[in-house]
Amino acid sequence: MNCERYLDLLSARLDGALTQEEERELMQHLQDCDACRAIARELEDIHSALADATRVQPPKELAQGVMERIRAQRTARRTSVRRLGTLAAALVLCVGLYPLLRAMSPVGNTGMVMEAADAEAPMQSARYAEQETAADGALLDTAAEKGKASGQTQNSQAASRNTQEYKYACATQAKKKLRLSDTDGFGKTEAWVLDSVQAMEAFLAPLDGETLSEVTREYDAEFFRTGRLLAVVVREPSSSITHEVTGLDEVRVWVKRRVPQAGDSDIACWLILAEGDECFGSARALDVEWIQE
Amino acid sequence: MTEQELVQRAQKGDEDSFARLMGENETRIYNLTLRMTGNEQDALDLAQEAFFNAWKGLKFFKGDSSFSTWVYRLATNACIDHLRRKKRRQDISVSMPVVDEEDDRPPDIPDERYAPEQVLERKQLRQAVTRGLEQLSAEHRQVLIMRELDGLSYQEIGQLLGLEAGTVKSRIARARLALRKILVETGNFPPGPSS
Ligand SMILES: [Zn+2]
Repeated sequence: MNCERYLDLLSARLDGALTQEEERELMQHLQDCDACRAIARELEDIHSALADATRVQPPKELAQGVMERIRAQRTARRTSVRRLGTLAAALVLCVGLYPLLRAMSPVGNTGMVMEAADAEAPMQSARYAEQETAADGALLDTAAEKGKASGQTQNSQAASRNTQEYKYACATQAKKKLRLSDTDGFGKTEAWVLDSVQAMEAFLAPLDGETLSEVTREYDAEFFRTGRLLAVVVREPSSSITHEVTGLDEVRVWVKRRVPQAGDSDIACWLILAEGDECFGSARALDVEWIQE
Repeated sequence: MTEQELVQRAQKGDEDSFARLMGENETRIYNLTLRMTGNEQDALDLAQEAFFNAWKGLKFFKGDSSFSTWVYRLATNACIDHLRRKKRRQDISVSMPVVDEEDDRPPDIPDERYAPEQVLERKQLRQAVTRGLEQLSAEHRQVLIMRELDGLSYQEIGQLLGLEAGTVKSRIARARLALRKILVETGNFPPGPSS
């Protein structure tokens, strides 16, 4: 007897989702099949046990904590200038430790600056679109964007825009940004320094095969001999929000977040990759420090 | 004041209106995060994260769904992220040492194997089912919570998770059978011929 199908019907029956025809068929089977009858009873028990599962009253801290964060955010906006000071200090430290490596890097001190914006709706982020199309109009069309061609242009534009802030950042030679679908297996916000093929593959495991190989084929053991990869995953309530990764230290990466006045309410998840050298340090998870703009 | 009016005020930055929206939704959201994580601290953190994200994303909220559906969705995402992140930390740590593994302790699951009764009291069964729920995969747990605890339709669950209603239907069936299997394994149901 093919009980498999009846098990599906048993479940659907609990949800009141059977057609009359299915209902008749199921009843017929239950008359003949002890096993399914037993399972039917147990599924009903589970169903009613779940139905009277009591609702727990949330603790008072829930709402209080959220309101505190909202107030803190309001205050933080006013002090963001001071936090940039901290960033500069952290970046000086980073450079101070590896001045020679940075000097040898072909890109020099253009700064590590990346942006992520909606690949499908470039017009919603005028500033971004302008910048990217100036560098390479084709970039916006692909899910896995290769930044190499436009990297230097964009970097130098960004750097000249904000020379003071970024001139101490670790050098990067290329970057990618990928828009992930909502269900990709990354955390909401994750940042890692990856220092080996193995670490990279473990981190990127949630990507589909094609995207994965597109990323991984560029970074082999040879790359990781001196190279490092900084990977940042962010998820936002809107694809119109843009990001700029401005620097990192031992435990943190600073991400500047730009929220436009208007935009879409689609949830957008980005994977931002930056190449670096030993300046990035060894493999580890980083906390993301947001700089609100 | 209607939900819509509260949303409009909150969108203009009125924190009190947002607090009221939160008050209307916090029980449902907290119970979702609690069932998903099986842990009060995580449940609190994730519920707060969902509401804080709602506040931050409010200016983009256009009212194409109700606020409560939207927050529910944010909370669902936060839970799934949290559970994946936990798993990923374990996976990635295989190739690198990670200092902070504090929240990766295995869940404290009491051993139910020796429950003497075959027919349990309602309350006992309810507790066993709640514990069994925590042992399910996140995907299974999620759809069962949405269907059984929050009474969402296949259609609604499908919209939240981006799945066809038919997929939701069969995932729920598999989830129920998986939960039943756990209850058999923990001695809460008698081992049947097909288990
Ligand atoms: Zn049968």
